[in-house]
Amino acid sequence: MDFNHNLFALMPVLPLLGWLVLIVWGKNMKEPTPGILASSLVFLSFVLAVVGFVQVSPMKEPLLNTLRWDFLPMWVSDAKGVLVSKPLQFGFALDHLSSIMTLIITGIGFLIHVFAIGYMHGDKGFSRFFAYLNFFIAMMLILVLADSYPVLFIGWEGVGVASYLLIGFWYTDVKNSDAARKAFIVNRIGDAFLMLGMFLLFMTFHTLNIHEINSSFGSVVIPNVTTISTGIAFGSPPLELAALFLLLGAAGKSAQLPLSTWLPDAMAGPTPVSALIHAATMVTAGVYLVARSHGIFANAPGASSWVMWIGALTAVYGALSAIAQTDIKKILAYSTVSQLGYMFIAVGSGAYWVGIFHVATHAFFKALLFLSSGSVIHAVGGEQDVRQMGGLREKLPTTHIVSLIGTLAIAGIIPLAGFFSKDAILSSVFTSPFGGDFSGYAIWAIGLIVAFLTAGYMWRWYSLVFLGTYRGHAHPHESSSVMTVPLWILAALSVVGGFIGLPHFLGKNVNWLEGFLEEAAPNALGFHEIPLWGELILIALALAAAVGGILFSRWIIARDGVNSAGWIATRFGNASRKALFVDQTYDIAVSAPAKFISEQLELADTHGLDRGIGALANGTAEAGASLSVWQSGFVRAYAIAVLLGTAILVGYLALRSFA
Amino acid sequence: MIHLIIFIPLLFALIGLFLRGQARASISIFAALASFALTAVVWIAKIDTVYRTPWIPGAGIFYSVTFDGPSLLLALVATLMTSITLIYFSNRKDSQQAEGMYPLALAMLTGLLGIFAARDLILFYVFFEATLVPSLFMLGLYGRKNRVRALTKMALYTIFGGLLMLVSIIATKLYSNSPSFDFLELFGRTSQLDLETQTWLFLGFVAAFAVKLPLFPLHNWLPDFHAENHSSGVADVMGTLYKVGGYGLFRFALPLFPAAAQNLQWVFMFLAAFTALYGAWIAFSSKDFKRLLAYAGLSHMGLVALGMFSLNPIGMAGALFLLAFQGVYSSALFLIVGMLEERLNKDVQNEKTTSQALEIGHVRGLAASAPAFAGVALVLWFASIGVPGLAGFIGEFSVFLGAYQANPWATALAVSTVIASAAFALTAYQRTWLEETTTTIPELNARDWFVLVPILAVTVFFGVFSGSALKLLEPSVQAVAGLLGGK
Repeated sequence: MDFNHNLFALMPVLPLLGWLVLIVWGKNMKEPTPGILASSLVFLSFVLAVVGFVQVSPMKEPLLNTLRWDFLPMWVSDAKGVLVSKPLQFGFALDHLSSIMTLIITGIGFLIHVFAIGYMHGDKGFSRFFAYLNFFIAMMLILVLADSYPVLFIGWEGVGVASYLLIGFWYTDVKNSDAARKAFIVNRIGDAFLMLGMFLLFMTFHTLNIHEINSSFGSVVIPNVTTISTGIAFGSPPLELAALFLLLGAAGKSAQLPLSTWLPDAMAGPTPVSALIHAATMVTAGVYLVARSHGIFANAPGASSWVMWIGALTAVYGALSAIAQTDIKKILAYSTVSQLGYMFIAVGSGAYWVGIFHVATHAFFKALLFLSSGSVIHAVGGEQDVRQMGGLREKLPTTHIVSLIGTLAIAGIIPLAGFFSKDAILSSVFTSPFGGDFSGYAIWAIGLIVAFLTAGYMWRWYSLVFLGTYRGHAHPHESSSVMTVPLWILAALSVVGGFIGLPHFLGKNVNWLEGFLEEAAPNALGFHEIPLWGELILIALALAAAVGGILFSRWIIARDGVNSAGWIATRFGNASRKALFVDQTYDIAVSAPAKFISEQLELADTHGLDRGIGALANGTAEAGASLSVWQSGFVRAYAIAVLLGTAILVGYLALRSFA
Repeated sequence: MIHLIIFIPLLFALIGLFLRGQARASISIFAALASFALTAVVWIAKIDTVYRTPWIPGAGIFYSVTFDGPSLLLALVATLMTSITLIYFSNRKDSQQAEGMYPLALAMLTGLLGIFAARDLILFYVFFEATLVPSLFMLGLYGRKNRVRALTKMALYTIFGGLLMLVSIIATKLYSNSPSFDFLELFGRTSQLDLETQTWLFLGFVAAFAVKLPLFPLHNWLPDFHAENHSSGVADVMGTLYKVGGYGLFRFALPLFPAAAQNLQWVFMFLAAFTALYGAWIAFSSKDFKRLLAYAGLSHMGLVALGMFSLNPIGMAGALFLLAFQGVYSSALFLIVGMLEERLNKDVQNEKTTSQALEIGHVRGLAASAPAFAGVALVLWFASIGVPGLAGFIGEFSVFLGAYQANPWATALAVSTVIASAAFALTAYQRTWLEETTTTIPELNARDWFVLVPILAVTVFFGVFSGSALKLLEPSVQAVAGLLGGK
């Protein structure tokens, strides 16, 4: 066995082992052993991710593991039309794109594991919690390392299972169980489309290997000119449709419209889960899927502009819903929905590295913000209503400082991480080849508005929690160092994380990330050039939006007070708090009718459809063993007698011939 | 060897009739395990000889049997699950009151193995129908209050379908001028028949298999069959293994009448897709676990039929895989329900307490007192709804993939079941195992683990390392698909 080629494949195996050990023996372990075990295994995976990163950095081609086996039956027709069996292999591939993802998953994952040792202290399900967390890391790693769509799908639904288990972690509360179930079902809607996408891709490319599909587009694709090796032209219908299917699949996992409603409910899970799964990693899987399928999307201009529009609409939707929430985690949840929209704008524009850039920076500051919320919730005895907080600046000094860093980073204040990735998104959509005459600029404008809103609601979040005077009744205290150290590390990353993707005008090779992903996720062709002064104006506007949002928010809070009663009571405030009524609409338009039909069908199938032969059977049963039916002259009854007689005769013949 | 495998269960069933209590249980379990072990030997040693001898020479009927790949996979599952089920049954407190289950289950096993091995159409028909007899006896002797109604319904549906097949079988030989009923001699001759004749003969076969699968609208016997059977779940497991309609399509109906199959493909694909969705949709409103599992099974069988009628090698391989492994995890869910019923039911003879023990959501929050039990149940449910990494996914995904190549619209309809099945499975699961605890139950004991561990192992292993099972299916599927001009 080739050690160098298979080492990286151990990455998901280690946490999977941790899951198994904790599920079987975890109950006999004393706190904090399960937490330490789980964290160390994720740390080992992180070490492997670093080794893999070093290994793969100089390579042009993906690193494939050699330990493979048949996974799914597949046949393709050869040149003569003869069927040839070519089973799909279960295999992993490490390239620059998946390498970045493994670093984020294991790195952030490790920090959150450590944080959780403190956060989950004293919980009855301590070992079960770490078992699930390890399971999640394993599945997420399978998702990003898969070299084919079906293997990716194992991780894809696997993280859905982990998410189900962790949202419903405190399952005795029916609200948590409901939220978990909702998340899984809504995700499955996306999964159904992802499957359809795979089937169409197989029909088109006769393979489901991701790298084979991407490379089948050849190195040069020029809009409207090139026909590629498989005969699939730029923008051809099967390509566009497959891309749309993948988009809907991605929308489910990444909580984009119209499948966004599960994510805010998912906050029912313990806070480290919200940080890890529902902010930093799992929900970015949709963005990864689009970047991973860059060959398809770069050649599907129609679908790509849909990706941008879905992203833009979701970004506004999330931001509008975030501004009037009162739950410390719900604000962040809607913020995540909105930021994921930004990522979709980026990958839709054809600048796949930008999407991954924002995945990374968002993972830093959003994990930081969620963990800070966890630290706050921990400190104020489980309270989650921001109106009952305030003044925590002095009582939780560490949490306060890191939260401020996180707030400024997500708002896009220079030179923190969010500034650079947001700027990259806005300038890529401004120059996108899929923007057309109108879309690109419209989405850019929407992005700018969202930047303003983001800075606004995040400043509100920060002010209500940390500024002013304490309005609650608990006795807040700072968390232990097992919780604060991860916070400091994430804060540091939120400060410097943006430097991996500096803007072009600073020099030719200053953008490390774009260069690094040049082979694994190259940009779509045809981006417009804009002059230096244009780029500077874009940056100035983005910065102005961020600063303006913060100032506006300060002004509103100063005017209306903590409860912001002035405008929350308005229709607009109410709509925002109810997340624009999307949930209610689905309940009325989808859930209720589906349930009604199900009940009616059940009744009909049990009683209605039973008329025919069932009615006869009824008669037999009611008459007990009586022979009345047999003598009724009912033609069918005679038919039965004939049939039974024949069956017995055949049986008799069979027996006789044996003898 | 192959005769031993097929008839050992029946032989020991007869011996068992003269024994009582533990002795009967032991000898029955031994027989099932012996049959499983010998089947495993056939698998490992790759024995695939065809054994053929005249049975009723005048009529051209042969005793012709073999275990090729698909037969072997199904036989392995049937013998394994019968063994496990009988072990489970012997652990139950009420097994003494239903001792007849042992010989009846063994008799069914012989019938099933005969179905999988038979290569002569008449022989196949005999096994196909004979297996019904012990199944009806189980229902009639040990079923619940409305068993007579359920029994009559099932017998009527099945025998009607079966008779149509018998007529088709005889007509097939006549029309094709074949010297015998042996598949190898019929095959090749039948494909020369004109489309109309093929179609009628094909429909005769399909009638029997559509009842057995079952397919909408011939499914109505199934929910009653499961709901009225003994609450232990033994009869349900045997009934699940007896879902051989998909196998019959693959083995006889499709290769014998390729032109008819191609001609009617789209009708049956839509019917199959509709069945899959219909079953899953109704399952959401089922109030009783047995009925829920019946509709879930109906949905699975819709998918099996979808894969078969796709006439595509990937779809057919997926259908066979799904058929084989639903025999493991769907059966296991019946056993889980049985174990749960035994823990909750104070009086097995009492119809009311039995109904309550089987009612979904009658008790809640069981995971608090029996977390491992809850975990095992969840894994099996995930397998059943096709979560990847478990055996259910391989079959389901391949069925969809193959079917999409043949008919994207019907497949899109069928794919929506993944949403419906998640909804009903997780809802039923939540109502029982999660939410606020209303009662406590004992955790799984060593005997329960002995039953469940092999099932979990098979479900997980073949969900990831599916290659060895796929290798068994590959040659036969390729041959049939080649015949059907599959894409």
